Amino acid sequence: MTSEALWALGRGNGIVALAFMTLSVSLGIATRSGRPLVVLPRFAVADVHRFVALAATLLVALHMGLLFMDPYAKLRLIDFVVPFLGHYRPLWQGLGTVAFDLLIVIIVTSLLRQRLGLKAFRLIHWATYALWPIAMAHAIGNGTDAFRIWFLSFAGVCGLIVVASVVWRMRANFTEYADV
Amino acid sequence: MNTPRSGFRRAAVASWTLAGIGVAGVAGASALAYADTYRPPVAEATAPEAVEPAVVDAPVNLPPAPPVVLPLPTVETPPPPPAPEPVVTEAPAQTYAPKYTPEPTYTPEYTQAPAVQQAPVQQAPKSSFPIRTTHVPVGGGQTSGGNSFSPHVTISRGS
Repeated sequence: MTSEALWALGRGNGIVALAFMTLSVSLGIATRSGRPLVVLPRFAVADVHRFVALAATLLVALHMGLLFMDPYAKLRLIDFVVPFLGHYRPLWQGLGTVAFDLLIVIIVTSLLRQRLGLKAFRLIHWATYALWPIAMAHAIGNGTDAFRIWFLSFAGVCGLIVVASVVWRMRANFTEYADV
Repeated sequence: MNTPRSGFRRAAVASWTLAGIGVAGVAGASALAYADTYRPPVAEATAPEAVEPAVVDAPVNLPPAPPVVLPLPTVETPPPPPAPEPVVTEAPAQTYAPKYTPEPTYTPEYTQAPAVQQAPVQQAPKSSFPIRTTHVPVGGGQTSGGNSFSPHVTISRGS
């Protein structure tokens, strides 16, 4: 029973981490627009974006730690860093490892933003557009309950939010002062 | 009022609200994943003959169990003919039949004792004059006629 609980808890953490990543992508795009969001002023949007991104990282760490302790998943420490070496669905698990590596790079460069400079930070931060679909592919391909109706609904909502945000991002009047 | 203080407060409220939603989401998603993974045991009130004991309480949707090394598939061979019933053959009873062998009779054979070859006597080197070695009188010195190996010397005293 313990192993099933570990597996379920690890999976739950991963799902919520994906939700927080979705939210973080949208809030990041909203931050880049320079517009206030509902009741949040512009600086508060960036603040919440940072909080959500760090919470997603914490949830990813919990997701990996719980699955590391799960005897069924048989994760090794090297699977956290080097992709496509896992025993269980190596392709999909490797995508999760790639997403984690990208996440670490993005978080570290965000924390060192003042030292790196705005240009390098933005260049590396573009990797979040690759991180999200990779994480979603990992969740669908590696999850045992990927084709349940509740998970498909959740994944669909997340996909819609990201697609809508990206579409908004590509509009000409995306930034508040674009026409100034 | 859109003061910076209110903005920070709203940001904090939004952040911690999201954190609470996240915790609730973890609990809900884990419960859903657990429900998909673990099937509760069927109650005993149901027809017991319809319940297979091997299926009850079996977790579903778990990741596969650790790989089990299976033996390589082999070409199906016809089953070997049934082995004949083992015939129990009693071991031959060993009857103890003492054999009395006649006591060997001692027949002494008189054989000629082997001649002991003695080492050859070393002969004394021949001297230029004869030395009497036989019939030597036993005992005594030179005056009493004992063993005297001194050669007889004849001294010529002239004429």
